Amino acid sequence: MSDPTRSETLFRGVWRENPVMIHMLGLCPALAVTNTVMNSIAMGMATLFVLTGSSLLVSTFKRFIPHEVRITTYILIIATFVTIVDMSLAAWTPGLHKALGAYIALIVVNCMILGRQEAYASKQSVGRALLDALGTGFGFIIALVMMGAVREILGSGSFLGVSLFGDNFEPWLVMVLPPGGFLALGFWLLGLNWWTQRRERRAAEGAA
Amino acid sequence: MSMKLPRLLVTASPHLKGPASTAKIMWHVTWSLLPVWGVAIWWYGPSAFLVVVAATAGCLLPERLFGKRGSLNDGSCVITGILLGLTLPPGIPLWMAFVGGFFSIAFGKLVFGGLGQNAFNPALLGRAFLQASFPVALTTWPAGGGEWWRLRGDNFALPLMRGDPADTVTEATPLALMKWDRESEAAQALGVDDLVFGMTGGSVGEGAAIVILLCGGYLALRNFLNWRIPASIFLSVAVFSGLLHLIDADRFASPQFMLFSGGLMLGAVYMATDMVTSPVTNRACWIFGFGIGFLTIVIRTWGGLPEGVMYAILLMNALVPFLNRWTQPRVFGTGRKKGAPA
Amino acid sequence: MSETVATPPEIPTRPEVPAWKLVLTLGIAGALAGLLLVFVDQATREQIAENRRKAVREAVGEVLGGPAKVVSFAVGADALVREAEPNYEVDTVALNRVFAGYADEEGKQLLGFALAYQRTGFQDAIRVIFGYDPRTKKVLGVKVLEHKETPGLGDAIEKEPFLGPIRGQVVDLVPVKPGDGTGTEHEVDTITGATISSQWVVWIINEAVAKAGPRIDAWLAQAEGGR
Repeated sequence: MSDPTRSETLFRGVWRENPVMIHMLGLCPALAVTNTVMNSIAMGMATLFVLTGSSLLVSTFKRFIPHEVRITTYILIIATFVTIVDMSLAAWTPGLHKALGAYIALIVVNCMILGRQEAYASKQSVGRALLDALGTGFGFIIALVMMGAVREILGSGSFLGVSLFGDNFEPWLVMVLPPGGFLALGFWLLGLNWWTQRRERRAAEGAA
Repeated sequence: MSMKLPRLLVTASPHLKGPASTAKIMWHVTWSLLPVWGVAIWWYGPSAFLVVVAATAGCLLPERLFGKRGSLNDGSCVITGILLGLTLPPGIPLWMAFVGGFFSIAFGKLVFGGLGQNAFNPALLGRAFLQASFPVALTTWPAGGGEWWRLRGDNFALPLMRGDPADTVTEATPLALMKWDRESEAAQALGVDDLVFGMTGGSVGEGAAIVILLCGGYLALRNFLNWRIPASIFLSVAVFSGLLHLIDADRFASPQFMLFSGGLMLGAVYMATDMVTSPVTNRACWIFGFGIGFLTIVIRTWGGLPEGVMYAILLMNALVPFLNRWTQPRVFGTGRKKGAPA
Repeated sequence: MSETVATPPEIPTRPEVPAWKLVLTLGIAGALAGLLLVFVDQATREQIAENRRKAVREAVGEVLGGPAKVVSFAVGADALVREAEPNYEVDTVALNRVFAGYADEEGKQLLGFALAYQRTGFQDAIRVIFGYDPRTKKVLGVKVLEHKETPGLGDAIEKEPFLGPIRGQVVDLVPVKPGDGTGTEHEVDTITGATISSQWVVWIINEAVAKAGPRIDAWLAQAEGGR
């Protein structure tokens, strides 16, 4: 098996192995806080920060972390970064902090972050772990924004808070409520899988 | 491990072939809906016609785009569309009816694999989606009667825009009166024969209970629906609301009222009996109908909404696979007890 | 016997790590994490507290209708204790502080008191601040500081069509269904579709007045008697 190049490491998580749309990881925040694009971006950025910081520390200290307590140590590191994010948001962007609520603290249990530590950062060099974390984090942001866009456009008739359809717009209430998260996720998965399968079929037909 | 599976008896041809086919049954159901729709048009004017047409168009589009080739001809989409249209308020903007129809077929049926694969009644799923999305539009009940040509609401609101409420003359539904406004004159004046023969406020197709019953009777006679389902629904509604009425006649409405008000008739005759989403064994049908009746009374009496037939049917739809499994008839010649020596 | 049992493939075992080493690792990691958090807390604490105070300060001004002067009182065991400088540090669980608003700079014309109190809603605490005139027992203005009720339904409790009509009503408030009221000055129309959430807001106001009202009355009697 040849080693993937650096750019492959970076871009793998962005799309081809997108954490939400392909791996189906980190669904709790993806379903819960994507009712507007702004919330999606904020949650994505917070997660990206936590993921990058944790991967950096884990890959740096991987030789000193005994196997038996590795999960505990990862969680400790992740929780530290989450608390930093929580406090910083509360201090400098109280509005966003209010909107995201308990879900910031819940980044700790985002399986995508722990998964990257266990599967990648604990085995790779610092540089590679950093690239992987950045790629995965951006993939997470992209997935959240995709969901947030659908939900905000239909549910509130706006994009990033800018009204799209004028005052008479009838909001699709269900899209900003929790079921809307499931509907939006299902919609994207359906569309993406349909597209992927069609492309593969075309490729197979082209090869034959 | 040693459980015997019932064997399918396969004989050589010629076979007797029944005259019924999926398409034939579906078109029969469709024709039987026309009188119900006709009464609605007579009462609500062109609005009733347009809403049903828009919902049906919304159903046909995804079936044409994503469905199997030829699946449009089996008529099931048209039924879903008409049924959905009949459950909507006549004054609803047409684009909402269209969106509801699209959701019914695309997300209520096609994502499960098409006709026969869906767990939930597609028309009710579409309505539940609309109710969750546009609660205000879905609970604005225009008054019937009056000048026939008049639209009953802002049917022609632009897509994605809300209807102009000024166009609507609203009327409380009997169930809403009973739930929130029992002391009012309108609620006192409401007699059961109004509900059976006359027209009361409500969705397009829940008006004259008697027409729905007659059409359902025809379908039951032709064996296109299992009469046990509506029968058990009516029975359990009558029993439970009767009990409550006996306990406290002031707080709980009478069984006649519960039977003939709201969407119970339409739901019991046309929605609950959907061949795909109702149980296959007769015993399960009794349980199924009983559950729907019970849940309807529970939701109507203690729930936050005045009407509960839709959610009652959807909830029981979810139980259908289990009901089917519990009520498998014993195969003749096999052991009575599980684990008994064969 | 032993011949029939196939020996399982050798699983590579890790060298045993002594327990003290595990404890030490976690200890060091924990200590470093703690240290880091202390720094971040130092850097953000003042700002977070400031944000809270700012929100309360603005809300006090809003529910009292723009007072020229605000005085804060700590709610003591049996009396209100006047504070030299207005302090907007509020604990809405304990109702530890109330605010008096005056129409003039000298503090002669009392507009009323602002009380902040909370209770648990469907998801999380509903925190409400409201203005209250102890002389007439009238509610002056209501603002929902924080809530997590269902968007589209329960969040109607923070909107004007519900909160507006509470202004001018007299405590104890009585929640009634819209249209059911008899028009007394105690009644508050609940929201159709958010009946429970709106009843809770009414409950919060009643309860806060029940808790702090006697002490406010006592202070008022003393202040007016002393004049």
